[in-house]
Amino acid sequence: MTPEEIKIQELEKAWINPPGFIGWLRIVNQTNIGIRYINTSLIFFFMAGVLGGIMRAQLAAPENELVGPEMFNQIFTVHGTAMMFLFAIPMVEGLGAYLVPLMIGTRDLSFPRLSSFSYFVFLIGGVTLFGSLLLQVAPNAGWFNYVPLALKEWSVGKNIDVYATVITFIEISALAAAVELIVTILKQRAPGMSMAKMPVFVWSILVMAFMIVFAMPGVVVGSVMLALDRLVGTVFFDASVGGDSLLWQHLFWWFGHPEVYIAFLPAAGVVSTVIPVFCRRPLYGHTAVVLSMVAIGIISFGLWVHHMFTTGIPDQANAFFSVASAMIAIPSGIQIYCWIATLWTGRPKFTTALLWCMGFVIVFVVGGLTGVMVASVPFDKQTHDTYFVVAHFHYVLIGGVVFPLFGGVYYWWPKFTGKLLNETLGKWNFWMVLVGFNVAFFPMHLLGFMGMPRRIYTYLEEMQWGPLNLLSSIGAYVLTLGFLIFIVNIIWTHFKGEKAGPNPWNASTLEWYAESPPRNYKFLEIPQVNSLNPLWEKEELKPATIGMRTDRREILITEILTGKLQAVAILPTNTIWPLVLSIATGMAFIGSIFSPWWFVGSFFLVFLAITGWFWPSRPWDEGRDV
Amino acid sequence: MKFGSTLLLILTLLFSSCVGEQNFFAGKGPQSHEIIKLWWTLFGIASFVTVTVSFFLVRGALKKNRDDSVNDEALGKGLVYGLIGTISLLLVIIFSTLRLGHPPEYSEGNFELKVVGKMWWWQAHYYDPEGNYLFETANEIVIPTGRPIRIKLVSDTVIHSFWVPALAGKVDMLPGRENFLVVKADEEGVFRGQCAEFCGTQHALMSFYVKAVSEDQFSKWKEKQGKKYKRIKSHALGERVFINSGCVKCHTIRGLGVATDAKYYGPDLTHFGSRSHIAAATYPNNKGHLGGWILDPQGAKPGNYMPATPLSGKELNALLEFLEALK
Repeated sequence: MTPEEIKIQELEKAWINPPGFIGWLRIVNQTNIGIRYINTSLIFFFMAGVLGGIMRAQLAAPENELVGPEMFNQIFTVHGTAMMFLFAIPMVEGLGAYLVPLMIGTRDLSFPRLSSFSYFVFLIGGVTLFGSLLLQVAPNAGWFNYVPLALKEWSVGKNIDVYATVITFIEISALAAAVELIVTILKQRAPGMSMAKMPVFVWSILVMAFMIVFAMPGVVVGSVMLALDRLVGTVFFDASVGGDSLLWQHLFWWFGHPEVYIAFLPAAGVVSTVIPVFCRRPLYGHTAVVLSMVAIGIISFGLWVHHMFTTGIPDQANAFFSVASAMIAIPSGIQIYCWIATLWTGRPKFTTALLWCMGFVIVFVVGGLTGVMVASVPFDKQTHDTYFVVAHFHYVLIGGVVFPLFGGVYYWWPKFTGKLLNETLGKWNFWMVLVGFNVAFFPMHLLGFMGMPRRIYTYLEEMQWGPLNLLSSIGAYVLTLGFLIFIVNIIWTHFKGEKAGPNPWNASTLEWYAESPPRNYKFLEIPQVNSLNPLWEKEELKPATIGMRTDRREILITEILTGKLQAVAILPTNTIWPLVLSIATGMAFIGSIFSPWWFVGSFFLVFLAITGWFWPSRPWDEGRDV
Repeated sequence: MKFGSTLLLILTLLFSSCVGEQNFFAGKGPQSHEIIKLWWTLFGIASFVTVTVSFFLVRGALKKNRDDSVNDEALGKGLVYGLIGTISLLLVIIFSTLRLGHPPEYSEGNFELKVVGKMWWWQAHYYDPEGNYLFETANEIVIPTGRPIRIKLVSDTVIHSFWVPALAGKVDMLPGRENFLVVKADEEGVFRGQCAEFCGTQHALMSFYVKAVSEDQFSKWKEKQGKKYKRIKSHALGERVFINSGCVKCHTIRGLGVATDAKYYGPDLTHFGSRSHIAAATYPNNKGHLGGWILDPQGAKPGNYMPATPLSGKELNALLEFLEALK
């Protein structure tokens, strides 16, 4: 064997994924965890989509009796909660977990066990939510879950307790993932990759992760107060004894609005990555795009009150948040300008991934403009909580998040699986979704003008909302068919897909330097990075350093700003403790739906699991498995 | 010219589909008029931006001529001009709209009407201009035309939102807080309103009517509504059914002399016969619908707080006669 073959063999051994089902549960490798995140959130996306289909069936005709009000309320609540908490956030986190280490040229995330833990917690939370729907005790007060409707007095069943539990899971999982992504991005970039040479997608994930860290505490506090109000009778939100019903709205929207951008920024990062690759030129205005993303991250914390313009908040305050809301259009506009400029000056190749990104721009502009409209206080007072707003945020969230994410999936699929998704099916997928989407959601603007409020399970025939609702439902089913083509495409590709080399798109970032799919150790040598688009440089990439040990999981640590090499760190190997801890956490929160004592009891289990996790033996230092 | 007329045709088709009683283009008050004007301005700007962006996107993607005449420096200038344009446009939009949709001039202090959000109906209390309490009614609000009227909006249940698109934007009703809305109807008419904040099982059908009448009719109406129930001999059986079948537990008829249980509070029925609709503006007020509603309210609006009242045909008929006579 040549020295290189020996090295590969040793690396394979050090980074091995244990076999068997138990082994599967112990894996901590970032690409595996990332794929689990992406797959799971896509499954939840389809399940929540089916719920959307049921709603559209119910609303297709006036006074329809397909589902009653109680079930409808559960369905729309789970649809919203799942799309936001179980699809949007985990999907972008999963993309981040998978792509960030590859893009910055490292071998794993900084806390591999934490990533495994955050995935399992997310999975338990998601299964709990959909399980509760099967048992018909799903949350039924909307994903925004306003009090006092969500307090014990008005929601006697377990429904709201399920809500409080599920969002607690997602908070934990999202915070864990965010912390991990921040540390990885700041400290593990390949030597030479200064902040200025960091890929734009990594920037978007960095901003997103910081936003999670700042936004989540709001809803953590809110959901804990809600759980306490319901479980042990604290009265934070009960106005009749001095609590405040508006407090929940502030806490929730402090998180809830940035949440939209938490999903949107990585999606925009995907667009900024995909467009240049297929235009065969670097992104126009890289710095402007990055600064815009940072600006969006900051401004998005100053506009939560625009969800509350009608609550009787004084005009002065409304005016401030109105201006801040409209200001978001500026950094968004800069990004759109840069994307168009890249297309204009490049030589575009119309792959499915690029089509998704172009479709995104138009749909997102429409959604953004209705967003500027509802940022205007008087206009919002008419359209707030009507179908106009439903149309607006579906344009923003499907157009602004789902479209680019699907573009990203088409773009990175060869990296994930080693096979290229079928382009013909991909184009059918895109056009069906684009047409279905607009037929489904454009009429909702008009329904809003016709006075149709949101969250209604039925409406009277004389309201004359019937025809447009029927049209919208038809569109929704075209949209569904469009998404089904995606599943067909996956299956087709699995059996007959064309093999992709390491870099089928001739892209410029480091993830395409690794094999497709990447080995567990990702890179044989950590490369020295000297440019923003390292794979488009004429020179071959060279190893940044020599002499890294191959018998244990070693990564390079670099300086935050300059990316100068600082140290070598050793990562832990496969372990079962993250799973044990997530089960213990799950028992604490799911148990607390029934009795607060579960929380106390599970505390000891959590303690045990953490003890196991932090047990002082560190066999991986010697290159041994646990 | 041809383009212009096509555009006009499309727009007309698009917005002529906006019909129905709750259509916000059918504005009948100064606030809603202003917002319709605001909408057309916003729509114009939004259409312009959408068309421009789409044009440049598609042209940028499809254009054949790929020489290097457009360099990054020129693009940079474009970005700066674009930014200046966007910022000024936004400032104009925001600052010119802040004062729109504001109530007409009114005197601070007294309110003539208080509306309370219930599960899932609307309780209305009327006051005279000096602030003295007059009477209570439900799901049908009468206001005078030609002058602003100040409405106090509260809730003692969950959050509701008071919205009559033809008159003004919505204002939430929050437990523990007081909100005010000043509306003015320019002409007489009947306007439908509906709860706009999700408030539980029957949120979907929690609606009401606002009737704008002349000042003269308004005082007559108030005088009539203030009157108590007077016993009519021929309706004695109906009255007995009302008291004995449990209706009276939730529904007050002022002057009947039987107290309701404060815990289960339903709409005041003193002048029930004068209302055009029943069940929070869901069904027309006639014997057929009312009979069905009394016998099976859960079938009509599942989850509402009114229990079914089993009655014999004779009893039901007497009850219906009695209720419809409460003018």
